[in-house]
Amino acid sequence: MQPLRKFPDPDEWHNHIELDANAWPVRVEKNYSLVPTTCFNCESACGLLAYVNKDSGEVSKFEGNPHHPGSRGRNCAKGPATINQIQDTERILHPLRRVGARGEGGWEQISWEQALDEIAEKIRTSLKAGGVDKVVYHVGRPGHEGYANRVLKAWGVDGHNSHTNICSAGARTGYALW
Amino acid sequence: KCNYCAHRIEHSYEPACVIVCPVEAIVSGDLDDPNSSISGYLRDHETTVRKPESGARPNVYYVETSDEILDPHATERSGEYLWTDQAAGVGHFAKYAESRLGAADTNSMIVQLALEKKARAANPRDRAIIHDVMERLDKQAERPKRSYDQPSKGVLWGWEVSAYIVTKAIASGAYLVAMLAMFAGFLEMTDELWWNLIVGCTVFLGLTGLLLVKDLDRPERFLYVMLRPNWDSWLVKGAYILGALGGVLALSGTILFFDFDRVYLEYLAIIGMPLATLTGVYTAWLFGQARGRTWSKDKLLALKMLVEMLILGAAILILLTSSQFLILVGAVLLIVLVSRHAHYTVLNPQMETLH
Repeated sequence: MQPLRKFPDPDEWHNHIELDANAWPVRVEKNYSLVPTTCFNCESACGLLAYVNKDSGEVSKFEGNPHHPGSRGRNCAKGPATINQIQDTERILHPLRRVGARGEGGWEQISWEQALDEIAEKIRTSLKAGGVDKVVYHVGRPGHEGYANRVLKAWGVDGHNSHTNICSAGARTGYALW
Repeated sequence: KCNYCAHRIEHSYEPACVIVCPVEAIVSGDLDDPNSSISGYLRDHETTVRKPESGARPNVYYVETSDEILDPHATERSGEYLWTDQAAGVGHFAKYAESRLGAADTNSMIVQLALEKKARAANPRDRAIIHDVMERLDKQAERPKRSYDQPSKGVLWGWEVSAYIVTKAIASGAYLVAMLAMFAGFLEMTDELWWNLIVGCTVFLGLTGLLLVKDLDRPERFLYVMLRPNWDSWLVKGAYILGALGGVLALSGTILFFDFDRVYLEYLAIIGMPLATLTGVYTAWLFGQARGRTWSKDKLLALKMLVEMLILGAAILILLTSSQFLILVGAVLLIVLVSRHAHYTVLNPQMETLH
């Protein structure tokens, strides 16, 4: 018996064939294309492989990416659980503007142009009127190589509010000082 | 149930549990290959298996474990746990769990809620008492406690099993005892007696077959036993032996029906007697193959079944030949007693695991 391996070789990532676990002992083949990606659930940014079903074009599951130098194929439960986020009905896929009073839960979809124009107008007004203390940049998890931070710095705004200043900045300060 | 991720092994991947474990607590590989890492691991480490006395020779070895981990019954159930309550039914009884689930959940949920409410709403003195009791319970808990619910699977071999053992013993025993008595000169086989014997044995053999099929979880697949035989199993060998005895009975009936020479019946009996003996006794060897079950440890089971079939056979013969009321009553009583004994023999070991 040839020695068992743990993960499919990158050579076969584009043509990965797996047998359906539930159909066994009937051998039902499933055709996957494995796409390496990164988990976004926390700051560790572990590697994932998205198993894209070639027949349906949908992601069937997420498993570890053995070639990610940090996570090396292992994940916590959140990584593979990301499959639940893809089709979540509460995902925000378009710009939404509030309708009605705060807390009522009324939202209307607007176009990107509209969103950018309105927000830009408000930021400019605030900067002109009150200065840099009137603008706050809020994002859940920064994941864009610091571009937004450069914009903030250009404006002179010290208002980055995200996971970083609430949670990880504390840890990183410790690393830096110790 | 674990099938060693056969669908992954087929493509030379390790089982999923091995891959996902972050601390590599599971080691897998080829036990038959002395150079494999698992063989090396077994050589270098002390390991235990579950129930080595069963003779089942499991291929799962545990490293640095304890009795409490290996044996679910080694710990005491420490009370009802809301979300681990599987008392409703699992495995064989999962299909009944739906209807029983309502009852099980409500009960333990009510108890749990009442306790929680009491603990929260209690005045300081009551809360202190509850705290004291809990501390004392915690101190007692130096022994490992079981926090999962290991449900009993209930009785898996039910009345059909003991019933078919009895009907089989009747069918084979009556034929065997009659033929033995005939050859020994104690019994004169009239045509009427032959008919009664053959018809009676065939009926009971048929009942045995019906019960055997009914006992299967997938009765519609009963023919697989004969057509896709696993010759290592006494289930298959027994089925064929039973069939052969049925054949002997059918041939005997044919001889009588077409009024052939009665001596052929005696020739048939020479094959029929060992067949009948095997028919009555093979279940003991079948139970012996079910390693891990208590009956498999009973070395005398075959002898016990032989005695039972002789007793039942004699009782039937008495019913067929005697006309004295008391003796007939005695025979019926004997049959009832032996049937009850068979029933308890099958059921009792299974009741032990219920709690």
